[in-house]
Amino acid sequence: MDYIISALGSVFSPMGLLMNLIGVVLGIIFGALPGLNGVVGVALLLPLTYGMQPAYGLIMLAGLYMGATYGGSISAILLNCPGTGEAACTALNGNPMARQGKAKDALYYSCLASGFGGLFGVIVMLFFTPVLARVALKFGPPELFLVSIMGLAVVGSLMGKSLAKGFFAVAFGLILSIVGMDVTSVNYRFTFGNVNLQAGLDLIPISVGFFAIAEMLNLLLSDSNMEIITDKFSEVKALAIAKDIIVRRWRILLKSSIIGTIIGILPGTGGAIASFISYGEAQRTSKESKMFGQGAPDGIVAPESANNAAVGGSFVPLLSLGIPGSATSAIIFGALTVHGMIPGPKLFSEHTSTMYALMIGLLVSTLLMVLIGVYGTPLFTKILRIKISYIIPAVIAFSLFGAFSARNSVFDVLLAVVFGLIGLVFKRASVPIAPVVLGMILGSMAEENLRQSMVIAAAKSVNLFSYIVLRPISIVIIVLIALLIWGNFKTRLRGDE
Amino acid sequence: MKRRAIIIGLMLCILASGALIAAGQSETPADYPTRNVSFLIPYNAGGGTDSLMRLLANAMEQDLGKSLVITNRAGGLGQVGLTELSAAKADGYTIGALSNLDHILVLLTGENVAYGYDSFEYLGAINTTANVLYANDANTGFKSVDDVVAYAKEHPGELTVSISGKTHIAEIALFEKAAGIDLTTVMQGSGNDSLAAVLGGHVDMALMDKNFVAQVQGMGVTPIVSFSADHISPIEDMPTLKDLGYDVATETYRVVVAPKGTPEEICQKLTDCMERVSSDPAFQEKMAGMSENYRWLDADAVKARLDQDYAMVEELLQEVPDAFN
Repeated sequence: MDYIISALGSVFSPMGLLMNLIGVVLGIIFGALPGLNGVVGVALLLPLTYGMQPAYGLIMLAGLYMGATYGGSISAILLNCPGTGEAACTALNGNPMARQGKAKDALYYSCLASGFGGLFGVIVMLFFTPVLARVALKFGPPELFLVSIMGLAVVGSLMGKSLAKGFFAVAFGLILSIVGMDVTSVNYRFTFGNVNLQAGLDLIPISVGFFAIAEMLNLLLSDSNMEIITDKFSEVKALAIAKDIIVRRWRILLKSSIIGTIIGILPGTGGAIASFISYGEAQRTSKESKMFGQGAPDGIVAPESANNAAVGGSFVPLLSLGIPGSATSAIIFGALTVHGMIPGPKLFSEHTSTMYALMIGLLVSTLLMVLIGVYGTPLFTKILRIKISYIIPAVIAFSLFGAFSARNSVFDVLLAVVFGLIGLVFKRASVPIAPVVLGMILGSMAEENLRQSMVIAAAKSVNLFSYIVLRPISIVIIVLIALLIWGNFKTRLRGDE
Repeated sequence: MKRRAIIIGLMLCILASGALIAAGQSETPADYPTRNVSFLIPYNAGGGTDSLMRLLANAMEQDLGKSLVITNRAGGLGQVGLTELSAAKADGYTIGALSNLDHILVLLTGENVAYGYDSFEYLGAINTTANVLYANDANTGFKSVDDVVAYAKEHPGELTVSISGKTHIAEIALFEKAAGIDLTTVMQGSGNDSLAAVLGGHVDMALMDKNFVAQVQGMGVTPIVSFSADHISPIEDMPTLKDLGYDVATETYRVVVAPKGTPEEICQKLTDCMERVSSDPAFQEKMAGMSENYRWLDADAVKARLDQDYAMVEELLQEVPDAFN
């Protein structure tokens, strides 16, 4: 009890609240700007926390992580430039809504769903960390391989009208994920003798190119002489949207939050995979499934609640086993060790009050995020009234800056430009772009886990197929994959009628 | 109006270039440093090398009176960042860090390596660490190296070992060579992935940093043996492979380096500065807090130690040419 009181003391002290607010605000900004994201933000602020009291530093970093996960949806909805991989799905329905004059609706859906998902993930982490961490360990290479296949199966929900173009896009993403050092054999692939390619293609310059630069070039070259993106605005209250979510969309909200938390807990995954999978699952069961891709609120609620739920989830294995659940929590791992806190079984018993401060701080971060999101929405939508001729250079400048800052690499800036042009071609040829990012994110995960499974199966002289399939969790995942594919199949059949 | 703007612009240019020339002229090694120093870390922010080097840089900038501006340029076992560092101006205003075995592996097995062993001035090293072999209890029940070797001799290739990174391939290959056994390595993306795999029993053993010893306590995983020659904290009591008669001794340490040709006086200044700040007990306490073991090697000592590691990996490659394929 003393621990909780001292934790509450640091969370609600003026310094604690200030650090939290700074973290959340910076997070939303980092998330919203194309090319910057939670990973970059946490890495940038990390050195600042070295001199702070551990609790404050952790609260700030965790708040930034939470805020950035939501922030990506703002630029996704308003400009069709998802600021982060997590928001790629949100753009698919958020931007059509904005163009229909329902930008505020979309932003409220995103913000409230993010808030619910965030709280859900943190509460699960607060109460079930030890149990869930044990379950996470049951996911070995075979299970993680199947999870990535499940993620790839979501492509059916992302591909739009043409099956061939959708598969082409996901295959393109998979090929991009191969470039660089092959983790399993530590040999280089497709580097063409270029040192810059040895580290592989980073997701940030590629997604900045595909999402932001390509979209801006597309706007620039579009035939219509529009000056602003849309002048249609419907007025809507946040409360009305909240009611709509709770009354009509609570199933999707809850299901996506659960999916997000589970995916977050699995090591080596993250919010982007969580939002893709929950998006696919939402489309399978939503009443609005036919409207997906044209402005379905369910298509915003699902990925946004899932990616924020993954934040809390990713802390579960980090705090209890010392295994980060996502790239961002891996950097927060660094912040812990700098303060002499070794993540693992003893972390809770040795640093109880700091851990409670982190978790309660995250609850506060989520609430701050919702407040900023709700009260900021009227302000954010003003972006739509800005002349396109101002928006395009600003977004491109931020994108190039973001591409550079991820790895301090001029080569990455070049990559962003090249992939911006490729993305433009994709857009003009109506090849969907989200599957490219899906393929890039899941390609290496699928490959690594499959090849680990192959090595282990060979060492134990068992058949690879039975090694992967004949495991309780594997069977569950395979059933889920079948349901996802069947769902897409059904939607497609219905669409043909 | 326009002409005035052009004139002002031209004047500013002249002023700026004048200032640059002046700055260039007034430099002598004795004044070093007169401006901020760029410190290039060829690994990601938040990683082991990064955390330790940030701590060191922080202490050094207070000592030198100028900032050490850290840039992370990760990729290819440090090759990406070190390529940039080796090409930087050797004036002491760009320095960097590297990790011993990664560096040697890039030099001996990398592709298109634009620099050589002699492309850097090795200034000093402040830490040492060891890798430990861990075994999953439920899968193996191993308590000692003898158990591992005895089982592996009867069942060649059947034991799976999680490793992360090319340096671990070398370390396991050295162990296999010394013990005359054959293990199956399962490459993971990071030490944390290795930990998850061995805790979950998806592999039988794992080669991981000594700092995981605390983390695996009570989790059904037993630390078996240390790969380092020295008995370092917190595993002073753990047997090393060397103790048990296997001729394997590997360790990881981070070396501060400058591009070849950096004035000797400046190199000496940096080495002295490192020694001064790292000998402070408060600094060593901070290192201990990060589970880093303090060990000072000056420029000559670190070069000698690197030579030793270089020869070890070179010999391994001669005997087992396909160790990395």
